Amino acid sequence: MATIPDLTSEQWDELAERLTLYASCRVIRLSWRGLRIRKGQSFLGLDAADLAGEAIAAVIDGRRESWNIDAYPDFYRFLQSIVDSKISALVRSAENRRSRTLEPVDKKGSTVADFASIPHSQSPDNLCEAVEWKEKFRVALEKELADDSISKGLFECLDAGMTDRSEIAELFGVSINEIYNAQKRLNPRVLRVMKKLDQGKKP
Amino acid sequence: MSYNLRQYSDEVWDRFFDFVFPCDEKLTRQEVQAELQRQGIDARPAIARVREALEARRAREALTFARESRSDLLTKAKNVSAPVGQALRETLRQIISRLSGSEQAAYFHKLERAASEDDMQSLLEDLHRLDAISKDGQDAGKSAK
Repeated sequence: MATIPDLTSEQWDELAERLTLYASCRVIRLSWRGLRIRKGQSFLGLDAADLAGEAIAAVIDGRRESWNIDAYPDFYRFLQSIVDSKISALVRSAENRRSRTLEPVDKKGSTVADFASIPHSQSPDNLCEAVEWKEKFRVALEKELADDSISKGLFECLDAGMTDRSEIAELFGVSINEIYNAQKRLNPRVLRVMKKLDQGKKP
Repeated sequence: MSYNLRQYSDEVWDRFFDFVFPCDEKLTRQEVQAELQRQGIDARPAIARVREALEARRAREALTFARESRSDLLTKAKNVSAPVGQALRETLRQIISRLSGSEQAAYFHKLERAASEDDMQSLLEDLHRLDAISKDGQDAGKSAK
């Protein structure tokens, strides 16, 4: 039997939820750059719950290589690496393109899967589509967020390398809760713009 | 308000997406659930898939344990020099208790009816044959995979 950690059913449930969120964020990160699974089909259509559920189940029933505790002392990190390699495989198998392998999540905890490098290695057709999509997305989001007072300042903070929420709150002179609320407010608006563009609608 | 988001590099946009769609481990479970809800994602299929895999794994473990312990007992029974009377009956009872369903019921019935030591030895031989058949089936299943 493959090695798995001794977790309660509650902990397994939580792991499934956490990994689903992780998969969704990875998919969104691929999508905003206009990366396509194939021409006209974006990564936004991927089912994050399916990706996460399959990744965990494959480890439990031994279809996937066993959890190497030395390489990944943290089981969740190991699962993240499986999701990354599943997505990477989808990118690689996309038609008419060459793609660089995504680096899995490293043992030390960095979650920088280098999705950013992928669009540059696509076929010219896909690359054009990606660039065009990305440009449309930026314009559409600019319009969508024009009335949002925090987002402009937020981009300036991020441009200056400031990513810590409490630091951003301090700079704005607002409470950290307001920054969390801004994030919650922006989240569905950004997603809505992406999905509309994806369906070929004007956002 | 002059608003030009296009001026920012891809790296800044990546940070923006990390900010808007956080998925780091610092989030509490409630925050993870709220985030999933905001993104319109239903994690229940993932949970169901994991539970199903765990259930199947537990069943496989139980089956392996039952087979191994039954074989161990049979080996012990074989090695005991002429267990007689109550001792043999007790050994048989332990072996049969590791069977399941109608098979178990049938063997318990046979044990109750076994009056002499010969009857019990014959029952023990039956159980040896059952174990051999079960092992063959298991090996055939493995080689088929």
